[in-house]
Amino acid sequence: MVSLPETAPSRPGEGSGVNSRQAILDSAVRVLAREGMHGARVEEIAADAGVSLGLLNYHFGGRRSLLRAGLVAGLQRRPDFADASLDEMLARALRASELDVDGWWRIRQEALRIAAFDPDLRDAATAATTAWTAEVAARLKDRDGAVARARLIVALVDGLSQRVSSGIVPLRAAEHLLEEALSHLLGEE
Amino acid sequence: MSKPSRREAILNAAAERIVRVGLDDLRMQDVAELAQVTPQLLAYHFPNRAALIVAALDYAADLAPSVNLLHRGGFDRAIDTLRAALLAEFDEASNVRNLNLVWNEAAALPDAPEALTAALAKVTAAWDDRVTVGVLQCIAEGSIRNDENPREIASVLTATVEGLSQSWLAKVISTDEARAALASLLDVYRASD
Repeated sequence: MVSLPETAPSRPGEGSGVNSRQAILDSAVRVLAREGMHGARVEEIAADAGVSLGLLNYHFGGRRSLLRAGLVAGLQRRPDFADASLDEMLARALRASELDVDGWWRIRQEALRIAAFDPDLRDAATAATTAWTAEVAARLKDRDGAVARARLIVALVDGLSQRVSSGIVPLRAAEHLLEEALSHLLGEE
Repeated sequence: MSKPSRREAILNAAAERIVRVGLDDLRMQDVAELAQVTPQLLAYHFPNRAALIVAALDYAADLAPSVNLLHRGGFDRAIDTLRAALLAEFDEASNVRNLNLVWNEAAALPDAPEALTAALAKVTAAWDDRVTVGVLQCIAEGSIRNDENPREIASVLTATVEGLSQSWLAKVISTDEARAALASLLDVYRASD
């Protein structure tokens, strides 16, 4: 199934520097998935991780670099799609804006948006997109040009998902458009 | 040629700032400085940040290459006009990238202010309308299948442009990859000759 891997629980005031660093990152990923880059507050991340602002700044040296590290860490936590069918995966991607769905898609959308200004995010955003595209390609029957077709499907889902997230297209309408387009793209004419 | 109005100069400056730092870090003061206007004049044209962002989105939508190329035409066949118009959204030319980026920022911003969402809904619907007309012209000339819903094709095309834009602006995919993907989508709806 597709679920975000469990993150280790953070224990305030306990453990080595590595553990507190990891706890801060885990919290940053959670807060970023929920609030996005603009809404993410360092105080909230520190409180969620159970560390002081001083320790947080010691590890990450400021808001910008903490949030960038959080996006990179979040991008690496791609859900394990395992036996999920193409339809299941795409349906979840389309519902990225819903908070009960894996934060990974929201993190990826936000990382893509920020990468337009922040070249340091590009490698991680590219790796995540390439891996996601490969998951889609692996589920296409027609192996010839599967990656090119998968790239197209990923782009359509990204565009539709963005419209659902911003509230200008109802989820139902986006699902219908995706279904219609897939019937052509998957060659079931 | 008349010189650009103050309002236009402000919108240009706003677009330039958005392209550099994004909407998260867009500050009225920086826009005023770049446009070389006083904060008072900026406030006269745009009373607050949300109003400026909405105007910047409208500005980007007015100048969007796909919409303008569809209006202008210039090809014998409607399908060639439609293809050229959609592909034109992906161009290394900095003004094209900047327009695309301003639109993308407005569309991708989490928890956007209500006024921006309303403006986004409006420009997106207008864009879909324009592309629907382009698709209808293709159906009329027989280059796109007539058993398809033109409005749905248009929405799929524009949503795909937006999805490709996210990755293209992030430099995750190249201009050629974005254009090739879009062209292959249009081929899916082509009527067989």
